[in-house]
Amino acid sequence: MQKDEQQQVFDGWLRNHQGLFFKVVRAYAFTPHDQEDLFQEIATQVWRSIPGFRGDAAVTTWIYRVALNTAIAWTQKERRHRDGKQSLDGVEPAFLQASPAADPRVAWLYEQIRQLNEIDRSLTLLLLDGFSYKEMAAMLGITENYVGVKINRIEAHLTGKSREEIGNGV
Amino acid sequence: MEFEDLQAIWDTQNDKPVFAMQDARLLLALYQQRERSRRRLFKQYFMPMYIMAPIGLVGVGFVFFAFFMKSLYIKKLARDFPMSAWDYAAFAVAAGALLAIVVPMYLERKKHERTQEIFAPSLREELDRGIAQLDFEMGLHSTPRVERFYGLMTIAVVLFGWEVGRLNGNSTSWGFVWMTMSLMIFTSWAGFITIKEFVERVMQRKHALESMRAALDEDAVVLPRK
Repeated sequence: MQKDEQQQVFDGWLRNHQGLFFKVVRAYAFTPHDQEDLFQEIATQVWRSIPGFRGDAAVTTWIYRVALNTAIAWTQKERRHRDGKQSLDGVEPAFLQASPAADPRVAWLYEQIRQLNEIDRSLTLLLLDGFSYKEMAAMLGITENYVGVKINRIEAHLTGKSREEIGNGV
Repeated sequence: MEFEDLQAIWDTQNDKPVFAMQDARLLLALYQQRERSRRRLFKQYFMPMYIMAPIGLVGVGFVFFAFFMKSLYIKKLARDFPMSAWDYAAFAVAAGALLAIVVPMYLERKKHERTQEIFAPSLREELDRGIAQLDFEMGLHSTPRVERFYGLMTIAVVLFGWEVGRLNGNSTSWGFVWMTMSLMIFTSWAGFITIKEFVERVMQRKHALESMRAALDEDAVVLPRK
């Protein structure tokens, strides 16, 4: 595949599926700097993955697979290097959330997702974006049964949390 | 709240962009990137040529002067290797070839720099200038330009060497000519490979800037830096 062609495909994917990129970024990285860093990492990996895309799966499935695997690897790497890492506080990133507090319910939902472990976060994003158990299992390399068990727990956890929140009058 | 309600909340974000560019920060980053690009180009491309060309011209002038003086004052040399019109022509062509490399380069850079020196007042203009800078870099490394450079350089070096040979008593220095030609062919081959990789990298950066400009027009999302 020519570089020009690869770039065109990438531009199209980013234009049409930007929401997907940012959902993963927002679920896995918490500060604006980390979000920018993870966004760059995911974008780079998606760009590299383009020659390997044969069209067997939907583009969204492919991007989600790459993005989630990158985010999980990034989280683990960040955790290892977090102690020795210099703080970037005071240096503003090139992109920010347009209106992070625009919908507090969405912000709350992300907050709950962030409290889950890496695999559960992936499953939650995929569940909320309407992927089937089969697709989730294929993307994350686990069995459908295990996906089912995990999803039931996640659903129960999230609905429980939302009821607590309503009960607290928030 | 049921899971379907959470799903509905989640879906609300599909209708609007989650992130937006922070224009001022991006503008500054692009400006710094362009400045680095300009400095690198000057150090790696123009400065060596600005140094080499005067040295070459001084060398040609020196050999010409030495040949001329020898022809005038050393009778044996004047008799055996008289300085002919061809020698004059060879010196003129060697000097002309060097000037033909460096003068257009100097003028073109001067013209380009007039559009690049100042900080762009808007992100859109900074993107345009960044793209113009990359176009300029790619133009300098285009195949016809590189062929012309190596062709003129070969002519200058061969003629200069030929005349140095004659100055030292070899009426025809064919060995030197073949050696120089071989060296220049090898150098140009290596140069083309390096340039190809360089141009690919510049192309990627240019695509990224063009995509950013398109995104800006569409009020969409910023692309990653490559």
